[in-house]
Amino acid sequence: MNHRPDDVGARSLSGRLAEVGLETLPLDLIAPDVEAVGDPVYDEVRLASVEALGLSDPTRVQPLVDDILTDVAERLHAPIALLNVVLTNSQIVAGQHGLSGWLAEVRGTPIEWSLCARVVRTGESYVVPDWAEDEATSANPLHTVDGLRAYAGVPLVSPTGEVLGAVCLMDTDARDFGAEVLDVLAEAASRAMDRLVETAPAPRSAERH
Amino acid sequence: MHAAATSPPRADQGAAARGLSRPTVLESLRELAAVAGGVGALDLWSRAAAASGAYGMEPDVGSHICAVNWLAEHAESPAARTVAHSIAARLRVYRVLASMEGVA
Repeated sequence: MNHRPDDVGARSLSGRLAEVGLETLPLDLIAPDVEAVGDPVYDEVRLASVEALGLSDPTRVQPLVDDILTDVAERLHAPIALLNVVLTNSQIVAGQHGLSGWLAEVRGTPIEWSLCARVVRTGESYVVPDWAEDEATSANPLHTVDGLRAYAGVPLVSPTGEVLGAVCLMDTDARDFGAEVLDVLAEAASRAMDRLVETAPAPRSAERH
Repeated sequence: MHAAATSPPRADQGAAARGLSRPTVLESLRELAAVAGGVGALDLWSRAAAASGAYGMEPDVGSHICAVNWLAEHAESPAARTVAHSIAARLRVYRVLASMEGVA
């Protein structure tokens, strides 16, 4: 009996799924969440840029941006400055100044706790002077459990225009952020991106053009 | 930072206190499907699970992380590798926060 290549491929996949205990998994369950469709966070060009620049790896990013984030925190008198990279269902704290505890250990959060995800989705700066007074942030566990209280973030933009994450300030006290703060953060984001591009890992051979 | 991030872990500051549930294989498959399609996600997962020993729909968190780490290294699509990094990060967050409660 002859099989079309598609039939053979499907049967092969079925066999492999059985080998890993997923033989009863209904295929129709495996569809992207409705929210992912059209969400800039899931844009494939953006995600490929994150990979090309090695931004999922804090051990690569931290040494490149350590002085930039320290400088930002000192100039703006904030305890915490971060370079966060928004992935899909989580964000990576790729660079940090001032973090401690579990966040410093894990270097990430679920995306639903990420204010930088809003920066990626809108492409614009985002400021929350007091998380407790803002409907979008008052129930965020980073506020209710960890005590973060103020946020200002600007887009981290790739040379080809994708918003990959944000450079942001955080404070455990409510505070007002002036335009100067966003200017300093934008300059820091630009400097950080220049370094990340200059030191980008070599592409895999199959991805070279 | 606030006490939760700077003090020794406490059970009331763990995953449950933050409303964070244990990531599932089905969620991972849906994340992958966003960039690889449904069949592509299954294909990727079957290879990752076979390579890492993550068996069934509810592998332990460590095995789940091994599988997505394999994908982050071996998936051909750069977007799929980023999704794998994302899933791995979420699993690591869950594992650390759940450990505060003695769950993971």
